[in-house]
Amino acid sequence: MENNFDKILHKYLSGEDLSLKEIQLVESQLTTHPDTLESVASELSSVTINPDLAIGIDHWATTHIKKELSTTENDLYQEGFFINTSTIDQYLSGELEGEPLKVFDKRLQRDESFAKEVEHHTDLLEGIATFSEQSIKNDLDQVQLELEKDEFFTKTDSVKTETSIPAPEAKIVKFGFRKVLAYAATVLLLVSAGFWFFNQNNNSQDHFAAHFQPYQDVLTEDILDELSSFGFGEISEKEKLEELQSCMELYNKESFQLANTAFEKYLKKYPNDLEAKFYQSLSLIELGKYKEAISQLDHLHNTDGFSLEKASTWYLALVYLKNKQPELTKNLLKSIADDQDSPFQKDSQNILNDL
Amino acid sequence: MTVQNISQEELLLELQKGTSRSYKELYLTTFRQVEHFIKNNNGQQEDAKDVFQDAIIGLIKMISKPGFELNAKLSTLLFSICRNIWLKKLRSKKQGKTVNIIDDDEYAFVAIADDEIEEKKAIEGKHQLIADKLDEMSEVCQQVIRYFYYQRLPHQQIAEMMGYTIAYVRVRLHRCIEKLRKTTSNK
Repeated sequence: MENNFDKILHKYLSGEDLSLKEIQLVESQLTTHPDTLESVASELSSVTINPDLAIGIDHWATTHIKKELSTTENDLYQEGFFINTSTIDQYLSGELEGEPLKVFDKRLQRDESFAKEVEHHTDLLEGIATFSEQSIKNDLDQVQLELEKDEFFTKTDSVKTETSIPAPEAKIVKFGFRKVLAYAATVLLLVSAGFWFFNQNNNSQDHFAAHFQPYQDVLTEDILDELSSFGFGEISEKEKLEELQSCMELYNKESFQLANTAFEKYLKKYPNDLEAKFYQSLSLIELGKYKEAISQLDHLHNTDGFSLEKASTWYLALVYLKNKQPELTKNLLKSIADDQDSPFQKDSQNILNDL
Repeated sequence: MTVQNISQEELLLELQKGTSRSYKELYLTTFRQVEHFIKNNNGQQEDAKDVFQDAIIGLIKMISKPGFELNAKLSTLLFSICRNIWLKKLRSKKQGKTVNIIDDDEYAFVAIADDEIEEKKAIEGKHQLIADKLDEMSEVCQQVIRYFYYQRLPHQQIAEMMGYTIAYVRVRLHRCIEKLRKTTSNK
C-alpha cells in the first residue's frame, strides 16, 4: 500500500497522467506531510518563461488553431457550405467541373431547400431571358411608332421588298396589319442601314443573358437630352438629372450595391421620382432584398399612369415567385395574362402554365 | 448544416477549449455576413476565409483576457474583428487613400480595439524549433501550455476544463514547460 502510494506520488511530482481520484489521494496525504508540500510548492513557485519561448508558444498555438480551423473549413466545404450564387451560375452554365461539381451535386441531392433555390434561380434566368427578348421587341415597337409619326410608311409605299423579310413572328399578327408593315419596314431599315440601334440591342441581349441585368436603362438617353438642352439658371434641375445619371451609370455597371445606395440618397432628395424608384427596386432584387423590392414595386404597380407600370407588375410577380409567395404570384400573372396591352402577356401565360 | 443549438456561454467555453464544434458554429452563424461585407468592399470569398481565421484567433485572445465580459454576441464580436482586419488590409493596400466602405446597416457592429487584430511577429528558426517540439509533446502538455501561456486562462479554469485540481495543473504545467525548455535549449 505504502509502496503503491509512493509510485503515485512519484507520478504526481513528475506530472504524469493520473486520475482525479489519485490526484486527490496524493494531495490529501501531502497536507499531513508539511515538509513534502513545502518542497513541492517552492519548486513550483517560479514558472516563468523567457520571451523566445513565449513567441515560440504563440507561433505554435496560432498555427495549431489555424490547422484546426482549416479542418473545419474543409468539412464545411465538403458539405457545400461555400456555394454561393456565382457557383450556381457556373453550375447552370456548365462551367463547374471536377471536385467542386461533385460537392455541388452532393448538396443538391441532400439539401432539398438548396435544390429548390437552384430551381428558382433557373426559373429566374429563363424569365429574364424571355423578358429581354420581349424588351427588344418593345424597343422595335417604339422605333416603328416614331417612324409612323414621321409618316415614314406613307412615304415609303414604294418599298416592295417587305415581303422578302422573314415573317416577324406570329405574335406580331395580333398587333394588326399596320404594325406588321411597320415592323417589316423597321427590320428592313435595320438590316440595310446597319443601324446602330440594332447592334446596341444585340449587345445588351448578350449582356442580359450572361449577367441577367433585369431591365434595360431607358432613362439615361432622356437625361442626356434634357441636360444638353439646358441653359444657365436652371442649376437645381441640372443637378438632379446629373445625380440620377450617376445612379443609372452604377446600375448599368451592375454595381447594384452601390447603385442601391446612390438611389437611396437620390430618393431622399426627390422622393417623387418613380422611375428612380423602379430601378432601385430592381437593384434590390439583384441584392436579394426581396421584401424591400416587393414593397416598392407594389407601390409602383398601383400607380396609375406610371410609364413603367406594366414592367413593375411583371417584376413584382417575379419577386413574389422568388420569395415563395405562390398565391400572390399567380394572381398577378393572371392579371398580366389578361392584359392585352401588356408586353409580358405571353410570358405570364407561359409561367402560369408551368405553375 | 443547420446552426446548432448552443447558448452563448456554452459557445464561449467550447471556444476556450478549442473544440471543432465551436469553430463550426462560428462559421455557420457569422461567415455569410463576413463574406457579404468583404465582397461589397473589393474582396473575394477567399479573402473572407483568410480574414475569418485570423479573426477567430483574435476572438480567442479577446475572450481569454481577464475581465472579459460577454456583453455582446460572440458572432457580433467576431464580425467586428473581421471588419477591422479587412479595413486595415484595404487601407494598407491603398496606402492612405480614403477607403469607401459599404456597411450593412442591418448588422450592428461594436468597436474593437486594434490589439485584437493579430500582428505578425517575426518568427526565427529558434521559434520554429519550439513550435516543432511542442507538436511532438503529449496532448495534455499541448493543452495545458496553450491554455496557460497562450490564452492566459487562470489555473482554476484550466483545472475545471481538464478535470484536475489546481495544484496538479501547476505540477503538470511546470513539468511540461521544463521538458520543453530542455529539448529546445543548447541546440
